[in-house]
Amino acid sequence: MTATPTPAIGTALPLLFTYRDCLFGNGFVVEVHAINGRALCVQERDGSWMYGVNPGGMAANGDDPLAAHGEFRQAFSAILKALAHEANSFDEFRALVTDFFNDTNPGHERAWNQAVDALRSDNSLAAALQIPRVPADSPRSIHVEMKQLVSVRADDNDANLEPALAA
Amino acid sequence: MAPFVKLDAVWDMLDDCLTGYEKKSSDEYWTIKFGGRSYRRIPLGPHGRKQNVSVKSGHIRSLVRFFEINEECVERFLDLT
Repeated sequence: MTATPTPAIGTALPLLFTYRDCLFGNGFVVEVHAINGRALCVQERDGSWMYGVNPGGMAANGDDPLAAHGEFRQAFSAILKALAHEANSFDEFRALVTDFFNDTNPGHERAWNQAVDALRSDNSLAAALQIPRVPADSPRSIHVEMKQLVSVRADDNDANLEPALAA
Repeated sequence: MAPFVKLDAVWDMLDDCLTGYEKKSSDEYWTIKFGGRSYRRIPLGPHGRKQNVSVKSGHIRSLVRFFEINEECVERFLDLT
């Protein structure tokens, strides 16, 4: 997400995000690749909020959508690290991460779907935001894989990927 | 919309509106568990574990929607509108 104008209060942006994290668990190194997670970015009176839809059990905020997304991204990684502390094995970690990611926030999901409809009917807003657009029904998945040390690359340090507008 | 809500009022709301919930704290955050599901990263507040701290309302709005807590019940304790 590049610098965007701060939307009017009440504006809701349906976002899809793809994140990759590499982290240490208890006895394993793991890569988590979350594809087309869903979040709703809402401009509230107290700033921009990123409400998780999938994963639904988290939210983050910032002064503007860019800052809110940055906080959301950091919170996502921090939760993965917390889950790594909780899990005693790779299989347990994979189950915890999968449950976390797939647990939908039903209230925000309804608002996310409404925001998709609104975005489709107002191309000017999408154009002004300068965020790439992808189909709202892009398939969502989470991949948790043991990382063999021979396959560790310096690129694994690059965890952040750009979010996209769901339309 | 109140940008902050008192954490004590949140616990009172959950006691009444999400009976049976559990809360667990780490160094900086609360996790709320109910029905096999977890809501994560509610801040402990700017002053750590002191009593009656405030948290940003958005975290609680999201929590309410995650567990689909009855909004009329929530309004008896918190202003999240």
